[in-house]
Amino acid sequence: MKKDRFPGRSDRRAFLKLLGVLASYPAASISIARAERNDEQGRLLDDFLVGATSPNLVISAFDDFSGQHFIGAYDESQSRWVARVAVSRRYHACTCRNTDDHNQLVFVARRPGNQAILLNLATRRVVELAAPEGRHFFGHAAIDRDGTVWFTENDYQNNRGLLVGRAGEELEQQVASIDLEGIGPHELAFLSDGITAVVGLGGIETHPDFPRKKLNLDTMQSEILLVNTERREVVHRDQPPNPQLSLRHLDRNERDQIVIAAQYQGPSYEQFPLVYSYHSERGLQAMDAPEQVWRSMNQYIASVQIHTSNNEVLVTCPRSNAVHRFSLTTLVWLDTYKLADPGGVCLDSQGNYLVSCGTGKIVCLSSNNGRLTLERESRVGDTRWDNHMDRVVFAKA
Amino acid sequence: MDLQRLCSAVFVSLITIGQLQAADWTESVSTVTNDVIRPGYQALEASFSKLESSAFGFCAKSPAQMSEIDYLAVREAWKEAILAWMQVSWIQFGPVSSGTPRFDIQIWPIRKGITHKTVQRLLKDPELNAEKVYQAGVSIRGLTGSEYLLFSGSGGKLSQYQQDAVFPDLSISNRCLILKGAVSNASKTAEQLASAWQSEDVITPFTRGVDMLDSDPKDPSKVYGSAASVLWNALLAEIEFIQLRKLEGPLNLHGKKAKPTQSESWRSLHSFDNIQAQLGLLRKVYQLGFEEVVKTKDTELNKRVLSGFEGLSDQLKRFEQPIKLLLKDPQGRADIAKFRDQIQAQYILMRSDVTPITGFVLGFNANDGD
Repeated sequence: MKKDRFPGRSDRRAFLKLLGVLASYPAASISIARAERNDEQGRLLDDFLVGATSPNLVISAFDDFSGQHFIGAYDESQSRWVARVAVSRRYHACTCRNTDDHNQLVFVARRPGNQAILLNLATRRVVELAAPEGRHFFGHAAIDRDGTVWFTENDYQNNRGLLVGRAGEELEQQVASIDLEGIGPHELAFLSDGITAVVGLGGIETHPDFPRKKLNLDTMQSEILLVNTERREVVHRDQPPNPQLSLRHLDRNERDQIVIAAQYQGPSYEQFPLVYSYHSERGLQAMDAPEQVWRSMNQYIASVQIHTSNNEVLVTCPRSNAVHRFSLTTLVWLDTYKLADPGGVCLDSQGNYLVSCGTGKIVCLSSNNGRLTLERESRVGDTRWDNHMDRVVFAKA
Repeated sequence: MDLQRLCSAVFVSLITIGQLQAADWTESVSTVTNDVIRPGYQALEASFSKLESSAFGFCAKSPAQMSEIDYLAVREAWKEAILAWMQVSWIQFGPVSSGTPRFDIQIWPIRKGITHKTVQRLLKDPELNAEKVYQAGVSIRGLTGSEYLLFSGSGGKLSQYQQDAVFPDLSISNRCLILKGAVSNASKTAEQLASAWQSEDVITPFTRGVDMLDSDPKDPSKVYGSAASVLWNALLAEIEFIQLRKLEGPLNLHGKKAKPTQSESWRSLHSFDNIQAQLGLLRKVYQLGFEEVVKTKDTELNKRVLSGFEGLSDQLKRFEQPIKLLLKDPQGRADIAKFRDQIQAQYILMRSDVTPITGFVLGFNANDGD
């Protein structure tokens, strides 16, 4: 789940304010519904809601040091857990399905997992979703203007990437399946029209029989796609300067400027820019940075977070133990902050970056004085934060 | 070296946490540095000096004067050099992390055909010189380029080397220019790396190219603890690298046919020798750096680790043919697949069972992100 993926809700801030929410920076909002159940599932979700008043409640998948997988919510302001839920597999990112009718969080398993977990905060139900036989998820989903949740999926029997829409009270109905005519769709986001999805097509073939293997590195072709989900078709596609630049993670701002981060799958001695600005009319524009900055990333970026107010973007680079900041005005690298094993990134209620790390730390970084500086940090014991983290605001209904 | 290895090796954050403080790693780090790393780089320097000397001696003679003995001496020197490289190629921290000096010594895995194409292009250049050879890029440098020149199709015979169909338009002098350029540059780099490790104290190299953010400069034991965690991560990364790249790549497990030319040093038929040398070295690092701590806390586990290394070495000795040839036979491919399973079991044992005992926490997003 990315912070501002509620297209068609330009009045969202006013909505939150109306509800008395303290937070001022974009976050996924979830309303607290009156408890209707009191069983185990209900109690589990009540735990999530305990953090209702926190301005900086973050949600993420994580592991403990023994390797047990979890999903959970952490109150960064108070440095305390709100909920820790053991799960059977490693989840990747979370999408907030917040509409007039739904208050739900959807965690999606990373490749080649075929499950997602829907936490229905309104009914206090936990629902496990499974991809149909022959398909698996890629860890990401996003919600369109009608509340349909779109998942990137792999039809591995036919080796084709799909964008699959699910609707209904608890996403029980598959309402669309769009053939992306490419392999390995990963993160997606909806543009401001609420119907056009931008999809990072990583280009990498995977199969559950070879769980984490990349099967086609020699022949892969990465792309970025614009998909009209109403017309059920890919309306635009662009390719990176090298087919092995796997376009995976992205974010977009209110002007529909998209920033996409690549993971280069070619030889380590070859260097390419890994951060691109994208607009359908201008295509992919590589950000500018000194060669040593690109080299230091070790060809890998984990997450992307646009900061709309500051017109900048932060990318996390766990293989170089650093986060890097780029200007969205000049498309030039601004600075770097060293941080061990960073993965997830989102904005806190004050507009600072919150970066989660495999070490268990959540670090708050400000860029308001022109460079990244440490505001505060929490060290969460026995925790390895996973690839993505997002902030949610619970609004009292 | 490829991305996978880089990412899972040193630049990977491997962070020390609370329980790490329970063990004092000062002696472990010092011992591995003094008994493995420094001598390893010195041996690398010596072996490349020998390779350079033999290549220059061979090339100093006119084609008519070149002898079979000289030619074979260069090939033998190359084999010594690659084995020396196997003793230190797992080290991705310290001086080697500044710039890309390791590419001067070896690039592997490498895109198929790139060395061949580059050499072919240079061979057609009537004004080829040392500078042009260097500027031609990493694909023909060091062990990568010299293996191609010394082992491609010549069958170990000087006469074939001189008339090799791979080089139809080749003058011996041009070929020698490339060979000399490849090995002399690598030799200089090996000398610099060895010198750098000798000239600094034990701990400083560990702080280069590796983020040891959780170490406290005012607390030496923590600094050594972080250095030990770097060593442990490098050790694990290399075992995984052998599994993923040196075995799974050529095995092509998901494909119908194996890919023998994806094995390391396939031209020289040296793939198993490389793996044997590396596993022996990694076992030594384990014994010198970590065995004492593991043994103290879990004797049986330590025995399993040593037994695992022993089993791998024994299995390697049973292979009677090089990987390239074995993979052409279904049974050979199956045997190598079993060996790959053994390596994986050793990796899992050390990562999952031993790591908690050491107190190190392996990088999470860096190692296995998405």
